[in-house]
Amino acid sequence: MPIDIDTIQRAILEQRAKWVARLQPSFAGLTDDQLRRKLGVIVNERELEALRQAPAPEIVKVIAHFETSPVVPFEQSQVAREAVGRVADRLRLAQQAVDQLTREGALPSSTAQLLLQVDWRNRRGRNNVTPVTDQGGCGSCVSFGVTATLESMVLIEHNLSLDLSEAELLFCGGGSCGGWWPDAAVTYVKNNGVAFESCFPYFDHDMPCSTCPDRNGEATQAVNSVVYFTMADRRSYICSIGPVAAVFEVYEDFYSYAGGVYSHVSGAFVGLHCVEVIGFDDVNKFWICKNSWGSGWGEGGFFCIAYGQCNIDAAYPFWGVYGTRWFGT
Amino acid sequence: MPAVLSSLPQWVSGLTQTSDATGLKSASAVSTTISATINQEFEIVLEGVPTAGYVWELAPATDKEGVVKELGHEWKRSTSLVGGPSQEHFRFLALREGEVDLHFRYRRPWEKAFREERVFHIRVTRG
Repeated sequence: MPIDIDTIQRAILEQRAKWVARLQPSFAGLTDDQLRRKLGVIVNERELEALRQAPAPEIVKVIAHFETSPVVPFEQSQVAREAVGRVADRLRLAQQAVDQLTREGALPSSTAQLLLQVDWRNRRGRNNVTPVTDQGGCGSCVSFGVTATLESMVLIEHNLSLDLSEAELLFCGGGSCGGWWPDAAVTYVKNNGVAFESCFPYFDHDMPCSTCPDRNGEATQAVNSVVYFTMADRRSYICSIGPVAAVFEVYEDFYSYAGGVYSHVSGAFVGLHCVEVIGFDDVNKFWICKNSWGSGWGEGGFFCIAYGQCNIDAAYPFWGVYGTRWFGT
Repeated sequence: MPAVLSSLPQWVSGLTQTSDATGLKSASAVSTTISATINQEFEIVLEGVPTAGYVWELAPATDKEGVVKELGHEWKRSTSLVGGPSQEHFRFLALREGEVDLHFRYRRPWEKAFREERVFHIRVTRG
């Protein structure tokens, strides 16, 4: 059998990893009631009904509890919380100031390297990441990763939220459900642009290239592309320009990711995967990524992965596209 | 035979049952019946797209009488392309005389629904 949740959770503890694994995959087929029983919850219908009938607990009792709690520890934790809050506020203000100055040209873009945290879901006063998508059962992650990156760049450069066609990029660009490479996808984006989703809707099986006849006037093209290999270049680009497409190695424990900062702890290598990297955190050393497995996986479809993990920033480069415009204009 | 998902790569065909030099039997997804003798190892190979989140899982408790024992599971990539398919190899040992159905479900581990199910009928004889 593929790896089970107990093995993963043991490995997370032993290796002091900072992520959370979800329920055992084999539980997925159980009903809610069966699941409760597996978890040791014995539901007594009579007790449940009695609870439903009971009057709501009085808030006064809760307040009284706090009043009798020891004062010193509470004050200490309050002080600590306030201190952390003040530091976070200052960091946020500093980040906004650098952002503003960089945007106005008062600071060179290299100054953006000073930033410790970047998340394009909340940058320059807005969300620059399009909704999480689902590639289904087709090996089309390259198209999803590159299309998501292109959509983000349209948001950043034009404040326009577009839904572009992963199907056109994949099936007209020379890819298939059997896998692809980001270099080829980026070349297609530069040479041909990508049409709207409505022009060539996505289904998760191989399809002939069949885009709409007037796509040339509506396709979105990126004039420039970059490929970065060093950590400094990767961070600097994400800071000053925008998200990128990245490739990493998927291991079995990745399916169980439910939150936190992923690092491989257990399970076999299953294949290479492509995603959009939408930010990073230099304090806690991780990349923030948007996956294409639907919003039911991970943290609403997103995940964080530690620097150096699964070769995401070592064996494979980051691919960026920018200078977006309507194709042929 | 259940319908083959069009999104999946071509199933290994013509390999209804073969033996390699070590005597290990191998059956592809095309086959539905595998015959083995006691103490013989056999392998079931299923292809999928694990980087799309989908894996083959052996449904639990399909072999209450212990006709076969699962020895291991491993992945073999079918391509070096990003997002490309891989094969899952499930290895079994025939333990005692009898028949059993092994149910494999193709699903995303965090989702309740499965996309496809394949049933392999195993017949173990004394040989």
